[in-house]
Amino acid sequence: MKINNSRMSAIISRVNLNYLTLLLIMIILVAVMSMRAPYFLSAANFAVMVDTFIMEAIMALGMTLVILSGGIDLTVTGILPFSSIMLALLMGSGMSFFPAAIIVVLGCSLIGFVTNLLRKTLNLHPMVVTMAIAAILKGLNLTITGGSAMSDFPDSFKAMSSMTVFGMPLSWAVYIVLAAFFIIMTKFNRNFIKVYFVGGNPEAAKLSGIKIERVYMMVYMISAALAAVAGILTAITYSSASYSYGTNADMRVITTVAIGGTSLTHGGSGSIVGTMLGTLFMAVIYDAFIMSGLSTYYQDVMTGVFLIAAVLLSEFFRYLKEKAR
Amino acid sequence: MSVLELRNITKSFGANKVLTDVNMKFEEGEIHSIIGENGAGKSTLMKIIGGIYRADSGEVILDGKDVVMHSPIEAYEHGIGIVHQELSIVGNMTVAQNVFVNCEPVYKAGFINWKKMNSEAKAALAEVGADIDPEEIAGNLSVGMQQIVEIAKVIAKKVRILILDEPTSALSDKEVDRLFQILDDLRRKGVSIIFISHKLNEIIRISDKVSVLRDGIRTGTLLRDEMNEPTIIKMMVGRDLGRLYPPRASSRDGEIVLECKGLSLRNKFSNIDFFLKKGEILGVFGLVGAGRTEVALSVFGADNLDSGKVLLNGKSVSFKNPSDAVSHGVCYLSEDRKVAGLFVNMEVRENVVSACLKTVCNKADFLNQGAIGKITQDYINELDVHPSNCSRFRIRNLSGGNQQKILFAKWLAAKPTVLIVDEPTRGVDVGAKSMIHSILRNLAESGMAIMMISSELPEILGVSDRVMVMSEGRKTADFEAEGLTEETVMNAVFNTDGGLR
Amino acid sequence: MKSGRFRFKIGNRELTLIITIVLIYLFMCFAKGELFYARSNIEAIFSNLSYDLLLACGMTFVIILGGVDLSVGAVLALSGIIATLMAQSGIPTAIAVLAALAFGLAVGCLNGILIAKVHVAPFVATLGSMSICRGMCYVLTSGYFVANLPTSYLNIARGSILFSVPNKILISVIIMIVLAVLSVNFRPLKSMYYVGANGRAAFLSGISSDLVKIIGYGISGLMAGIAAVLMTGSLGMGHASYGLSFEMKAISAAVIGGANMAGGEGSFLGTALGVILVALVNNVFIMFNGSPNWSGAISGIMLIVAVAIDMIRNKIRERRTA
Repeated sequence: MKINNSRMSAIISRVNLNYLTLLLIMIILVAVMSMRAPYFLSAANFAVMVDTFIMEAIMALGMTLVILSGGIDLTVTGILPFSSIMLALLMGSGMSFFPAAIIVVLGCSLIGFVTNLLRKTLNLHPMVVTMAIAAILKGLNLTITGGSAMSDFPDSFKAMSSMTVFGMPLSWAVYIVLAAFFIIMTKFNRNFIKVYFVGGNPEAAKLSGIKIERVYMMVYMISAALAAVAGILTAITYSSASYSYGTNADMRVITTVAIGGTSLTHGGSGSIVGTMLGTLFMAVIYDAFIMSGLSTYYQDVMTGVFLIAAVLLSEFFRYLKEKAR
Repeated sequence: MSVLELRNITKSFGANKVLTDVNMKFEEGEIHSIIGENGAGKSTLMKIIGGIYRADSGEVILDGKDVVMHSPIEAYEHGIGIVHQELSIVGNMTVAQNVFVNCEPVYKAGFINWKKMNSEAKAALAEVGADIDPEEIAGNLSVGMQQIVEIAKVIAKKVRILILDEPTSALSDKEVDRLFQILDDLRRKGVSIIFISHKLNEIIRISDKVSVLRDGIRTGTLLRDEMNEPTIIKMMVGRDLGRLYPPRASSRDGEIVLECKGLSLRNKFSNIDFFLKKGEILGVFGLVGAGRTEVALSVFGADNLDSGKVLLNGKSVSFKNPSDAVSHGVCYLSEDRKVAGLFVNMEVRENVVSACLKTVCNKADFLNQGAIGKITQDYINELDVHPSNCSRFRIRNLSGGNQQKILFAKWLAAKPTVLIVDEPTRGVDVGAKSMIHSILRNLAESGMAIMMISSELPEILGVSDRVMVMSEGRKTADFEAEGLTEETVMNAVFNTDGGLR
Repeated sequence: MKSGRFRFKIGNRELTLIITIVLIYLFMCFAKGELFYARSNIEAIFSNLSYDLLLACGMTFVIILGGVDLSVGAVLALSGIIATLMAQSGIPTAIAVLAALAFGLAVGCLNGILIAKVHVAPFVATLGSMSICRGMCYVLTSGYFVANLPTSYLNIARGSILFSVPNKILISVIIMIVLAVLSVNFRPLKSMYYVGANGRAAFLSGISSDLVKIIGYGISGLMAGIAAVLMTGSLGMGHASYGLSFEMKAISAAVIGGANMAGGEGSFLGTALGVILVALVNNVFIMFNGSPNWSGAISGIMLIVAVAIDMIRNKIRERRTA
C-alpha cells in the first residue's frame, strides 16, 4: 500500500496532469462526435474547425506570454478590429499591403507599450488598465467606421483571401510560423525565458539582476502585435474591416490559455505548447457544438464555464502535486 | 589594500536608525563573519554592499575606489554576489535555469545552449558537492537542496566577494560540513567571503575574523585566536542596563490559565510545553526561525496543530480560527503591526474596535459610534497616545511608538484573559518602549496572563517573571527570571545538539 | 468632536467632485443654454443614472474588498430577461421580480464563494460568470426582445409614488442612501473595510473574512438584479444586450469617487458623485456633437485620469511631509 502510494506520488509529480486531462477529454469527445456523425473526422470538417478558431489561436500565443509574466491583456479585443480598420485606412489612401501591414503591427505594439507604461506608472492591476484601453479602442473603432464595414481595399488585396501557402490558407501558415517561433523562443531564448522567472517570482528575478519592467514591456507589446496580425488576417479573410471583429475575443483567448494549463493565479507556469493544445481543445468543442446543432449562443456560456473549470482544475492539480511532494 | 572597505556607513528606515557609523575592512582570501542579534543590522549592511539598499551616508570602497551601486546588477558587475536569506529560487524553473538565471550560456542572438548550460550547472553543483539533476524542477527539491542550488548559483558567477546571509539555517549537518569545505576552497582561491550567521559554533569554526554588530553599531572585531564563545556573547549583548524596567509580579501564586502540552506542527515546532499563570509574564526568547511565532499562531487558531493539547482554565480547547480564540478571551498581538496588526489606512477609532466589533454593536448589529468614540478616547488617555485628539487620524500618520500603542489598545479593547504579545516593542523608540513594558506589567497585575515573545534579551530579562527559551523548533530551557543573566540565556540558545531540522 | 449616528464626512474628494460637477453644469448652461438645461436633456442625463448608481454601489463594496466584479453588466441583462420572460408568461409580477433579485444575489454569492473559498482571482471568476450570463441571455432569447409585459411590472420603474419623481430614480437613490448609511454603522458591511484594508490583520482580529467577501459580491449581484428590474420595466422590454460595458462605468464611478482598487477605501457619496460626473461628461460630449459610441471610452479615460490625479496628489503630499 505504502509503495503504491509513493509510486502514485511519483507519477503525479512528474506527469503534466493538465495535458493528460485535456487529451483524455478530447479523445472521448472526438470518439463520441465521430460516432454520431462520421463527417466529424473528415478533412473538410477539420478545415472548418481550424478556421473558426485561428484568430484566437494567434492571439493566444501572445496572451500566454502575458499570463506567464503574471499579467492579463484585455486590449486584444479592441486591437484586432482596430488593426483591420487601420489597414483599410492606409490601403485606402493608396499604400501597398506590406508597408501598411508593417505600420499597423508596429503601431499596435505601440499601444501595448502605452498600456504597460500606464500600468507601471499608475501602479494599477493590468486588468483595469487593459479594460480601459479596450474601451477607448472600441470607441475609436466605432467612430472611424461609423458602425459599418470598410471594404475599399484594392483588388490585389481581395485576391489574398484565397491565397494559399503550401496548400494551406494564409492564416494557417502564419499561425504555424508564429507558433514555431514562440515555441523555440520560449525554450531557447534568454529574453523569453526571463518571462518565466518574472512571473514565477518577481522579487527573486529582480535580485538575480533581471530588469523586470523590460520583460513586462516586451510581453504587452508582443500581445498587442499579435492581435494586430490577427486583425490583418481577419481583414484579408473577409476582404473588409469592421469594428465588430473580435468581439469577446479576449474572453475566448484567455480561456484557451487557461485550458492549456497556463496558470492564471500563479505566474510562470505554463507553456506555448500547452496553449496550442488548449486551442485545439477549444476548436474541437466549438465545432462539436456547431455539429450538434446547438445554438452558437451556447459558445459564450461554455467559454465561461471552461474558464472557471480550467482555473479550478489547475489549482486542484497544483494541490495534488504539493501533497505528493 | 583591502578588497572592500566600509567607511562610516549609516542607514535609517524612517525614524529607525539601523546602522550607525559602521566601519569594516574585508581582505582577499579571508572569511570574515558578522554576528549580532536579530535587528542588529547585519542584513541591512549586506544589502548595502550588494547594491539593494543605498547608505544614507558613508562610503563603500572597492579596490580603493569609492563606488556607488544602484542595483544588484551593478554589484554583480563588480564581482559581488549575495546568497540571500530569503531563497531567491524560482520554483517552476529547472535547477540549471536557476543557477544561470540572467547569465545563461548562449549562442548568437540570445539562444540558450541547453547542453552547455546543463553540463555547466552540473559542474557548478559538483563544485559545491551536490549531486542534483540540473534538469529537475527546482520547486521539487527540499529547502536544504534549494539552498545549495542558491549557493551554486552565486558561485557560478565567479564572484570575488561572496556574501552568505544565514546560509546554514536550512541545511543538515552533513550539508553544512560540505558547505564549509567549499568556502575553504574558495578562500584558498582568493575569494573574500562575508559570512553571516546566528550560530556561534559555526562562526568560530570557519572564520578568520569576526565582527560583532549590536544595535547597528560595530562593537568590535576579533581575530581567529581571540575568538571564543563567551567573548563574542559578551560583545553581542553587553550593553548598559541603565534603562529601568517595571517591578516584577507582586504575587506568583495565581492559578494556571492556559496550559499547552506537547504542541507539534510538522517542520515548524515539536513537543512544546508551557503554561501561563494569572498575573505573570512568561518571556519567550529565541532567534528568528526558532518557531516562537508559529507556536503562538497555532495556539491562537490561526494555524493548525498536528498534535498536542491546549487547556484553557483546565478545559481542553481547540480554536478553529482567531475569531474563536478571541471570543474565549485569548488574544494575539502580532509581531508585524503593518502586515498583520493594524489597518494603516483606516482611522485610529476604527482600528481600536477592530477586534471587538461585536461588543460595540447593538442587538441589530449596528455599531454604536458613541461607544466607539468613548472606548477609543479612554485608551488614548490610558496609554498616553500622542496627539491625544487622534481618534479620527489615520494610523499611517502616527509615529511607530504610537502605532504600537494603538495595537495594544485594539487588543485590550477585546478584553483578553490571556494575551500573547509578539515582539511588542519592535521599531519603537526608547520612551515608548518603557511605556509598553509598564503597560504589560500593569495588565499582568490586573489579573491577565501574558506571554511575551521577544528577540531582545534585555527586554526578556527585564520584563518577564519566567523565561522559556526556544531554538530550532524546540524548547531548550525554562528559567526563573530573577537573577538570570544574558550569558545563561544565550548559552541555552546556542547549546543545542541537532535541532528539529 | 462630533460623532452622530448617521454622520457623513464630506471629504476633500467629495467637495472637489461637487465643485467640478457644478462648474461643468454652469459652463454648459452658458455654452449651450436651453439645449442643455431643457427638461428633456436633464431627464436624458438621469435616465441611465439610476442603473449606474445601483451597479456602482455594488461595485464600491467589491472594490473596498480589494476585488472587482466584471459580471454586473451581464448579470443585469440576464436577471432582466429572467424577470421579463416570467412576467410575459403571466407569472405574478412579484414572483418575477423576486426571481430576478434572487438570481442576481445567487450569481454574486457564487462569485464570492469562488473568490473567498477557492481563492480564484476576482477578475477571473467574474470574467467567467460574465461570459456565462451573457451567453445565457442569448440562449434564452436568441437575441429577440422580450416585450408585452404586464402594466403592473412596468409600473415598478415607471410609476411614481412620491413627488412625481420616477420610481426608478427614487428606488435607486433610497437604496444608495441606505447602503451608504449601513456601510458606516452596520457591522457586516463595515467589516468589508477591514477585510479590504488588511486581510491578514482582519483574520487575526477575528473577523470572518470569507463570509464578508461572499456578502460583498452577493450585494453586487443583488444590485444588478434590482437594476435589471428597473431597466426592463422602464424600457418596457428585456434584451440580451442590456448592460454592455456597464462594469466599466461602475468601476470608473467608484474609483473617481475615491474607492481604491487596492482595497479598504471607498465612499458611497463619492461613488454617487462619480456616477453623476460620468453621466454629465457623457452628455457634454454628446452636446458637442460627439458620438455616443464613446460612452465606454469616456469611462475608461476618466478612470485613468482619476487614478493619475490621485497618484500626482499623493506624490505631492509625500514630498511635503518628507
